[in-house]
Amino acid sequence: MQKLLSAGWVRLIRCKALWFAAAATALYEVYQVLSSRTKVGDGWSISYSMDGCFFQFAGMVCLAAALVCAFFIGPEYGDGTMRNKLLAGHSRRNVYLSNLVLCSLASLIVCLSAVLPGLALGIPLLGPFDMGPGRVVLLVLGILAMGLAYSAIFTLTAMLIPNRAVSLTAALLLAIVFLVLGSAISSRLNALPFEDTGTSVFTDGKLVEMPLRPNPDYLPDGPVRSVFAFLNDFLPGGQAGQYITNKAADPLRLIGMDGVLIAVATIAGLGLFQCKDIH
Amino acid sequence: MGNLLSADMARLWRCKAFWLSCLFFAGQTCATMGREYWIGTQTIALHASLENYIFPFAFFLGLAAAVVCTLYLGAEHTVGFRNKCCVGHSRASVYGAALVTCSIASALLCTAAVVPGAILGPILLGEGVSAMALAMIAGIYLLSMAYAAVFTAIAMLISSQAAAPVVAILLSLLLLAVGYAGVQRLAEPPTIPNPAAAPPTIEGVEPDRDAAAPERIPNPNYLPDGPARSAVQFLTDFLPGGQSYQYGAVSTGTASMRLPQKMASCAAVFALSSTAGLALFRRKDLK
Repeated sequence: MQKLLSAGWVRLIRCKALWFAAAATALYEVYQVLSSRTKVGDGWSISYSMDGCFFQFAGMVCLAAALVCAFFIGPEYGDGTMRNKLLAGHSRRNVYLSNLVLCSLASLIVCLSAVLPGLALGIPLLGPFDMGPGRVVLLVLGILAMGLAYSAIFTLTAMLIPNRAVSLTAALLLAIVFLVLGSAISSRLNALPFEDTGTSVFTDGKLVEMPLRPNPDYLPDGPVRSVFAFLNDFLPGGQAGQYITNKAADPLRLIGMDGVLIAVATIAGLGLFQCKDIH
Repeated sequence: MGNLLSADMARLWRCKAFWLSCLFFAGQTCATMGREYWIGTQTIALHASLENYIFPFAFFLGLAAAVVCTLYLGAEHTVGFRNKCCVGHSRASVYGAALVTCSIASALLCTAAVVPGAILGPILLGEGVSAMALAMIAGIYLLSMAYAAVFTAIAMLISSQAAAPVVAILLSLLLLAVGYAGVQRLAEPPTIPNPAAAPPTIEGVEPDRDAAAPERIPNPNYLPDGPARSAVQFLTDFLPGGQSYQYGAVSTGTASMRLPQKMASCAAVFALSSTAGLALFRRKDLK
């Protein structure tokens, strides 16, 4: 296992996709901070705080993890490295776990590449966070845990799909599905019970405003809303939405959910990889 | 050229990514129609025309075209292109056949979304296809061709089977994000409520209440009439991502259609991408 990790680490730090993803995430964070600078006009000014912009990079972590995991693991199938590792006596479990650890490290590097410039640039420009330092640390830890959960999922797809192009495409599409699904679930949970139709009709010669119509997207309290709330916390796309909008009410719960997700993805991936025919 | 097209179409017919994308588009349109029908039976239905329900697929058109074009053409880089050139086909014919096939694939993706909508619309929602919807459908077919031209160029020029889909998918997302940002910027109002005078309604804005402060202040993001606004307007209409967003957002009422400009832009993108792609493909080292 140690040899696998050591060899993998050497490959990881030479992986261009990792440094591309880290640079893109860092640039995105810097852009978010710079675009939130205080805006001043004649007799007015708008001040933005770090709270609103710092955690925006959570959305990028998903795409970055998909890209890095698929690019890092993909060549192992094409070059025959995966089969060679098994021929040299490493167990399938160790091969899978070493790749999982390395992809998790890559996700942490991507997250830190946004956190460090965000803090270094944001605090001098926008001032300190309005929220307490404890919550800031918790939210950053939450995003790191979410990155690890993404790594577990994309390690699974990369280890099980031998075709490199298909593996990359599947990982990127899955990342997009996660983000879209998270946004859709969050939108349903935030829907109001009634919506304004914004229309008026003539009734008996008088202009009467149409009443508020029940919002079909509204989810009343009940089992369906509970399922949506659970999915919003459980799926990494929903978590990313909560971190981006700064609405993560209980980051510890989200971290716990990430733990469950990592365990489920790893157990499923290990089980399927054990049965896989490796050419 | 005829033989090349025939062989390419036979391969497209067996491309799983193409059929999965068609299935996704058809399913998405049916789901939107079904949902609107259900809402109409549950609540006060608002009058809306068919174009409000057919076009959300435009959001995903670039993504699907990127996946189909690159996965379909990527397989040719191993031996296909070299063998075609070896047996006497010119590079222009090889490129042209690939472009035509990818354009047909993109047009079929649109058809997979539009046809169920046109059939289900009158049945479920009592709405036929209006003249405006027909014009938009024509525009969206042209948009699909523009996407096909861009992603064909990428797939023909990037030999790595893994890199081409990544570049194409990320480009499609970038185009959509730029289009979204452009539309949002153009929709900014000239003034906004003053956070210093009113309770904070804008997320991330630090309130600093002041009784003497004006109720509304100029919006720093507003683009007044001038070269900057014209440039953003042009880019939003010219880039395929901006068009995708505007077609897809018809139902949210944010789009104002300038169909002739959009169609001309699609033709320009198609011509530019194909010319540049063919010129670079002629010089490419086919290993």
